[in-house]
Amino acid sequence: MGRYFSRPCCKRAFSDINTSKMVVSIGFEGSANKLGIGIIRDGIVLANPRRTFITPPGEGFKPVDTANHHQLNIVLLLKEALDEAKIDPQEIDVVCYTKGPGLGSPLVSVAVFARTVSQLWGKPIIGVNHCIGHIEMARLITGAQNPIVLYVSGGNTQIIAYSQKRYRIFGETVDIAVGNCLDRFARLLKLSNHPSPGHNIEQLAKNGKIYVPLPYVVKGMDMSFSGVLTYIEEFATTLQEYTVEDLCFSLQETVFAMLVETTERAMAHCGAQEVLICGGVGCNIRLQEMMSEMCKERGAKVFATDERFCIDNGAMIAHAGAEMFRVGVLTSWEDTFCTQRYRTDEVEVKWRNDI
Amino acid sequence: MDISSKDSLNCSPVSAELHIPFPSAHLATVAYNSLRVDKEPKRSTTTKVLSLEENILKASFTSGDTRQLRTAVNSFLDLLILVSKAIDEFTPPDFIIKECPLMI
Repeated sequence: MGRYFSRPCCKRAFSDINTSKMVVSIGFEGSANKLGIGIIRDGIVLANPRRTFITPPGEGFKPVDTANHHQLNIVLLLKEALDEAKIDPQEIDVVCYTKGPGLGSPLVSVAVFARTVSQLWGKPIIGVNHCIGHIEMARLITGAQNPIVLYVSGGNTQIIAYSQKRYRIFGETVDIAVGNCLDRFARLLKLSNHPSPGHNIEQLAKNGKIYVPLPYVVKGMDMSFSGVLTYIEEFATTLQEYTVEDLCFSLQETVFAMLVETTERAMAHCGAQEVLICGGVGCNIRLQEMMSEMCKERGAKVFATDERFCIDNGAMIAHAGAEMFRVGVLTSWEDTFCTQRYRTDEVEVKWRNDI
Repeated sequence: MDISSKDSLNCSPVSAELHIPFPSAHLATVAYNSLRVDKEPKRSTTTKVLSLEENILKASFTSGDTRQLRTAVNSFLDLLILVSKAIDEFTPPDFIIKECPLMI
């Protein structure tokens, strides 16, 4: 990406980095139904408020309604973030926003707002890859050095290993994300979407007693979830002799085992001794338990964050953006568009010096 | 579009033009820069052209389909309202937009 500065003040701000001034960055995230704004100074999170667009049971969130939600809440959320961080906009060095991947109109709503404050405050703007935001935040919080990353959410399921300035996608879902599978099953059961459908599946699963054998689909390094979803949807409509708790339990055990298997395969390939779980599904304690069991057998460690950072948030965008800013990666104005498909390995990870 | 041949609302391209005045040319430029970056969705037959005339932001829309035109204009107005809220709440008191030769 060319070093086009979006305005002359960017050159001034960038040269400040060389005098080891602490970078204050603000990040705007809204690629799905969570709207988050985060402010970070030199790796410390000063504020990270979030609003979630929650739909009634049985309904998923549609792009237009989600965009409306973000537009309605973003002004107050920014005030909240600035108040909590106790900083004046003039102290901010860089404005960061989620370029993608995600839903089109929500992404654009947040980007338009970020472009506006970037101009009003006279600060440079950086477009951040959402997946990289998750990875870099999890690395910062947990201190994991060079882990295999399992990135699992409602929109993404990838197994990632860092090599030579790229987050390489080792394996991924060939159809839907594991979180999407869980969310759609919750919709069918008309579970509450508060605080999230996955959370409610996790609670029900704790009371599951019978394991229902479900399709287990791992293809080498990749996984498929749409088959198990179709299969279990049939069960849910007839229920047969199983309870809702049994079905939730069985679904989790099956899909999480698939994730653990493919993660283990990546670890074996790379000789890795660390696993980092990030993304909304990473909040799930059962998944963390299953991963820990596998890692214990290998003498490896599992790292995970709590729901402040697992779930989409603004601070992860602020942090990844600050890393990019630190090494001089800026976004030209014409490049501040959004993109629904944005592969994790498209980004050159210039801020890491390890191999 | 399979409806366009029989739909009486689609005899010729439909268009709409909006003129939105701002308190100053600086603020109109902020809105113009924020709103001109995103292209219309790929499946839409609507084209949108933005321009600036001093403190007036001009948006002209042309579409092969009236319903798509409505969607495009509504989305644009929603984002415009968002921009103006941001301007109302977060403009510093001494605001003058900084000149940038690389921003066309």
